[in-house]
Amino acid sequence: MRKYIFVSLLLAFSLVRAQNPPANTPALRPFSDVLHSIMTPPPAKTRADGVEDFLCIECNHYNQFVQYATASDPARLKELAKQMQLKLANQVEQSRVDMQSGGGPGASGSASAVAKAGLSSILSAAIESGAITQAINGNTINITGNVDAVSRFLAGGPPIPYCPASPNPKAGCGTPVLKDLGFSVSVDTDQNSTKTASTSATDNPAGTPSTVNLLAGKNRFAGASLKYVFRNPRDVHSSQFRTEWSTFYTNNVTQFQNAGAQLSGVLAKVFSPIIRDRNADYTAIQMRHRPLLLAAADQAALETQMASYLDEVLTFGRANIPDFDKQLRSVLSAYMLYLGNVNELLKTINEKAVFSAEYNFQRPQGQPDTSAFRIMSSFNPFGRDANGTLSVNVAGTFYNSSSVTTQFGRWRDAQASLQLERRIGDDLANYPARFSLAAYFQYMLSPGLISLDSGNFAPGTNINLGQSAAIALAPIGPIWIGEAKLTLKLKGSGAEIPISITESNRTDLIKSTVTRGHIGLTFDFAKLFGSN
Amino acid sequence: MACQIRRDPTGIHRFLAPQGATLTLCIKSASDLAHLTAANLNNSPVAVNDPCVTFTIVAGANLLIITVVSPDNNDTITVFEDCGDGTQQQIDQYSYNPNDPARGFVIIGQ
Repeated sequence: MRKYIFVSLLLAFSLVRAQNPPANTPALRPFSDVLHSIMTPPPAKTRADGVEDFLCIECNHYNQFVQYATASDPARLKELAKQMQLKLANQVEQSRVDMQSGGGPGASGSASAVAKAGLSSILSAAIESGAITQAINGNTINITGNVDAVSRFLAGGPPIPYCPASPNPKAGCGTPVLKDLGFSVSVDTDQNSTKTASTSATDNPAGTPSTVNLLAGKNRFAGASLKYVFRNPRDVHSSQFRTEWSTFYTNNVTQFQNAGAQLSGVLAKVFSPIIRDRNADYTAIQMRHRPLLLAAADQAALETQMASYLDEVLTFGRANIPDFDKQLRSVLSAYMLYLGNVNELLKTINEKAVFSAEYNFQRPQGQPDTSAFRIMSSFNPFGRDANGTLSVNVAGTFYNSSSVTTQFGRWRDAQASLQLERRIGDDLANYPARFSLAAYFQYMLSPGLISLDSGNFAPGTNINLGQSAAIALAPIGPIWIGEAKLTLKLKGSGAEIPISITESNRTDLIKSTVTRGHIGLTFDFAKLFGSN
Repeated sequence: MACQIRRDPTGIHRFLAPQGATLTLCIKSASDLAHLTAANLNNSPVAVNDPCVTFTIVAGANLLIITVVSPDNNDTITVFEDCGDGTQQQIDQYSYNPNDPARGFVIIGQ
């Protein structure tokens, strides 16, 4: 959600700054700072300086002027802003590489040896086949979501909140804490089982048994997790940042230049005819209003004169430029897109590494239940170049059951892993695929355990267990895994296909080298919003 | 070559320059982090050579719009004319507003 917050705060409405009280005339609020600089000139400035600054719309008041012009139709303006926000949100989502949709390395069906630190903006789903650390391959459906977005959706509201200007932009929008809190639920599918069915002796051939065991598939709840994402802002004055900014700008110069060219082009189309009018009517309007503005006795009079000037410029524009109001709205759209595009780029460089922490309750098939704590970070090791993300995980797993911990100890394993991932292609959002290499290390502090239910016999005996028990199957020791993964991105759909291959020295239960393939299908619902 | 942009002594316009003159405007920022990303003269894009842009003044009002980007939201941008003989002339100085990166200059070609 933080991506949306950042973009939303940059919408055109946010020009109203908080340090001065707003103008009393609602339509003039975008000019509040200018108003106050005329009423109370800052040091080394005069009232005349403030008036000149205000009169010069083409100097630095394009956005404010357009907001003033469209203020008479706030509903349409708000709708436009919402549409732009959704477009931007979609662009942001399409460019994300920090999100974990599938299960982590401990799931029975997973294509990822390393979990990423980011959070789904709304809801994502994944079905993945193949195990990373587990002895038995499985198929796992994983649903991950953002607590804030899902609760908004369930309450009947939009999952992506509309965020107009805030007097405290740092607060962002969305529900505090919840917007950075994620959850996941995993279900193992098609677990092999048998079902006993009765036969009808009279209808079947002679010798048919009265009951038969049929192969059947079943789904089972495999685990759930909670994740909280932490982030830290960057110091733009540090020497490290300056070096990184230089590299980052060079690598993204085309996008910065395109964004600037688009904005200046739209502005020029609207304002050049006003400025270059043969009769110099715009200049005449300025000259006529200059003394009136200077003579305004108080704030109310000044606001009246400011509105009078802006209205006259608008009247002039509407009389001389075809579709003037439509063009003004296109300026507003251009600002929103510029701010969304450029500031999303800036956000990439302005953010430090992403940190998140996760609690994961796991129900591995045929093994005792476990809990895992994982700390994750995603950052760029190449001077904040957008193309290249390193994800690092540190985790520990312990057994939940006291009967198991009494016999084998509380801690099951400790894990450390890292993954380097790069986009294939330069486009931030519309790249075709990503490629990653990962290394995973897990040290089994306790032997790998399997669960036996009460109907089984103690190993090597014919003594019925009488109650559920766990037995050690594999010794303690290290597990090493290497992974190569290609994630195909189905453009604009929100769907991705991760395909990976892993090589490990052993699994948690079986001590022998294993090479396995993994495939999955993930779908991020957030990428659908604003895509049209 | 001497600087070619001058203030309008009548106060009617901000800047004057000889018709047909080729001007070079550059930016610099207090943080030294800002970049000139785009420029548009009279509704036509002009290639930028960050941090400068070079263009030719035509008769009458010329509207130059530039866009600047800086990662420092509190940056101060100075716009100056590169007069070509090692001298510079400050044209404008303003606080960078990340929400309004465009700045316009009307220069009357005479």
